[in-house]
Amino acid sequence: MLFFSFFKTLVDQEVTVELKNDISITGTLKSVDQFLNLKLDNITCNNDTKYPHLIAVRNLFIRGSTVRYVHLKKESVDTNLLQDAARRGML
Amino acid sequence: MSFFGFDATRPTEEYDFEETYDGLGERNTDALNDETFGESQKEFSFAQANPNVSYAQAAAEPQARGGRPGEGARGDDLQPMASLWGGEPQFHPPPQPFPQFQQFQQPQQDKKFLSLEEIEAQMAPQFQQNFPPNFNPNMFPPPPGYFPPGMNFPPGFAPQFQHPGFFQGPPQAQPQQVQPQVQVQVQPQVQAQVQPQAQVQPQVQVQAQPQSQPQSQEIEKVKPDLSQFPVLGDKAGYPRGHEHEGVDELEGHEHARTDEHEEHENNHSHDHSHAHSHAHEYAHPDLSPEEQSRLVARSQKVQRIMKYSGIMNPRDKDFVTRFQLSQIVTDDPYNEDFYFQIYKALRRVYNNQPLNLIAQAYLEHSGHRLGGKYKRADVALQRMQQQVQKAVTVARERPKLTQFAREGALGKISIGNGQKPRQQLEITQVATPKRTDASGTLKPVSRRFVLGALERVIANILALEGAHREGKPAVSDDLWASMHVLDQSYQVNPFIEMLSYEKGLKMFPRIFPLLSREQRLTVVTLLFANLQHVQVVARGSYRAYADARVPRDVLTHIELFQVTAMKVLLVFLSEAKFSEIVGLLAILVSSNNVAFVSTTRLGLALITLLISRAELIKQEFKISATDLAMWSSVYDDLFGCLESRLAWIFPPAVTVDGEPVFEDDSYTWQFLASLALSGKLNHQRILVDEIRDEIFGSMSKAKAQGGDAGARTILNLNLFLNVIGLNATYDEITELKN
Repeated sequence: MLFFSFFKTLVDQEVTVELKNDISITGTLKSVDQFLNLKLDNITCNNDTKYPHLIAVRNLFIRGSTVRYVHLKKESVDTNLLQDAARRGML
Repeated sequence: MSFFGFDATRPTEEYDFEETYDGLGERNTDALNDETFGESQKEFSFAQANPNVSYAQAAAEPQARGGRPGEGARGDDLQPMASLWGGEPQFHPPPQPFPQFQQFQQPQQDKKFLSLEEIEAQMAPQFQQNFPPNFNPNMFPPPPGYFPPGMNFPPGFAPQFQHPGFFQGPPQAQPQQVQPQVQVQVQPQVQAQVQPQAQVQPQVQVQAQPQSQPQSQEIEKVKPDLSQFPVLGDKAGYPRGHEHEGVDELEGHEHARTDEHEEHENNHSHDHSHAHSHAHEYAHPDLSPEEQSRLVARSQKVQRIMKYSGIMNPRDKDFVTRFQLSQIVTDDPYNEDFYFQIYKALRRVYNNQPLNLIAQAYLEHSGHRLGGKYKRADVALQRMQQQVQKAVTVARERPKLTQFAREGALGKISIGNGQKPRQQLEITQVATPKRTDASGTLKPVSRRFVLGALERVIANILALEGAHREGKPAVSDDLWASMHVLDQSYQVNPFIEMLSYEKGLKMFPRIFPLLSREQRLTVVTLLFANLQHVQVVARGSYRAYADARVPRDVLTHIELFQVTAMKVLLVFLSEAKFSEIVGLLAILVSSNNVAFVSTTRLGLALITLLISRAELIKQEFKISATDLAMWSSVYDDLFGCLESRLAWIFPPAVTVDGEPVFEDDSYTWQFLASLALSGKLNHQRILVDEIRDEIFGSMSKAKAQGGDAGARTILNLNLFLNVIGLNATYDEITELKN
């Protein structure tokens, strides 16, 4: 539940999601569930010259298993707290 | 309303199932029946009844086919028009061969719906009258509806229809022909069966196969009369005014208010009656082509949006939500949802109950706007909270077991859930063996041991903090034991070693509030006694490096010490007693190489802290003579250690590529200032003698720097010089004017 708990704090923040199929999408995280499926709003595709089919899409739902990376802003992560939470997860 | 009384098209944002039908009945008043019945074939055709077709589509279809608007939408009343079988004489050909059946029809017009039993009971005596004496009533075919729809009569029954005294239909009125009637059977059709064939035929045609009407001879006869009723696809013959009589009453205002319509739609965009009023609207001849096309576009959009609306009913949604929730919720949020809970608590975003938060979040984020956007949100929230509560109960009762082995089975079955994904490995932690060796030699501390001990300390801190949060009594014994503060069996105390690691330093401020005052004093004493062993202090000495420069990573480590441990120490010392401070300084001087410690940035800063604090207390409070005597003896010890080495506290000037690099040396001047302040005149004289070169060096440095940096250097220098009554500028040192 650590990652779910973590991503919940990122709701309404801007994130960049890099998918396993090379598409990279920036948008506002709207929701996340325990499978780490993501809902993004106001998206822009960062490599839309290569993948133009997402140009017209404004919001989308991403299945968690297709995500490779989620890029976060540094200030939206409390690293000390995250360390504690990770330790707690091990207990 | 659709045929089954279940509205498959109305978007199910409404949570309350009952509410779904609110206000819909008003539109479908009986006044419209006349118009709708004749053209409602779609409603009666099972073959066409496609539950997946949305209401909006159904409403729009007649349009697409050039039909009149709205007819499909309104032709949804199941109640047949009474006039069809008796109320309107034009439907019945003049000959009435069986007057007794006409009589029997009369009560049915008042009371349209009779149960099968009632009808049978009414019919029975009449059969008795009409049938020949040898007729066996038991052979009477079962009433319509007795057989499942679509099923033919069993062969044994079929001939009964042809009984001469009972049914005078021509041979084509055989079961096959009656069958469509049976399929759509509703009570009143019983009459049709017993009516002359001339009447039966049109009724079958009208209700089940309207398209074939012209093929029927009988229909040809009555067609002029039918023209008064709306006929599908026959626009030309349709009297327009007639259509609008009833409609305008209900919907006329919609025509006049196309502007307001937009807003109206925003509020009620899920209301299917709109699609239907659209359909009605966009065929209106008064509208300009642009408006019409706009309306068409909008209606298509609505149609698109509503295509899959209503695929799940509220119950389905509830079920899915509950399922989802049961995986997510927990009755122990601080453990299982630790990061989120603390993160939010730290930012003070929410003050609510966590469970309500989940419910609220669900309402907001799931698109599951129960109760609609504009009404009864509180009720929906309440319901959602109940769901969450229920889910929590379920989650609590869920077995904690993650693995079990069936008897006789070879493998184990592991169970995963949202909180704990399926566990593939089970690692049992071996308790670290207790070290009990009585040999007198002190062991070196291994890195592995220190890190392990540190993790145990952190685990204890987390447990204690959790207990504080939940208001449980917290006992710090475990923490204290895990810190090894009083452990004498190692060369260097393990706790001091822990401070060599960043995470150990970060834990330092968190440990303090959990300890008793006595324990805190013990920790501080230990720290001052082992100052030269604390790596961050020792590595901060310029003498440890060939080029006399402290590396970057050590400097960041030092900064970390200043924001973590130093802050805590400052707070602790500001509350400490004079005797404690003097004691700490005595321990520092006696158990460390002061000359070495004074070459380190942190060591010097800590000594400064002690001296200045003691001086402050000395000036503010009355100090007992014994304490004062002790203080001066400790000061003398300290000064004795530093004497003749005072110049060493300054890191040597460094040049990089021939350019001098000026490092911040304010801590040295602060130290000298506090040392001078506490010392007597002879101490000060020795001080000035020893660092004379540094004083002038600092002045020339300030000159070289110039600007803000130079001013700052002078300011630092004056920290010290002012104490001894002097003041420096860029060029000269003068006596401080009072």
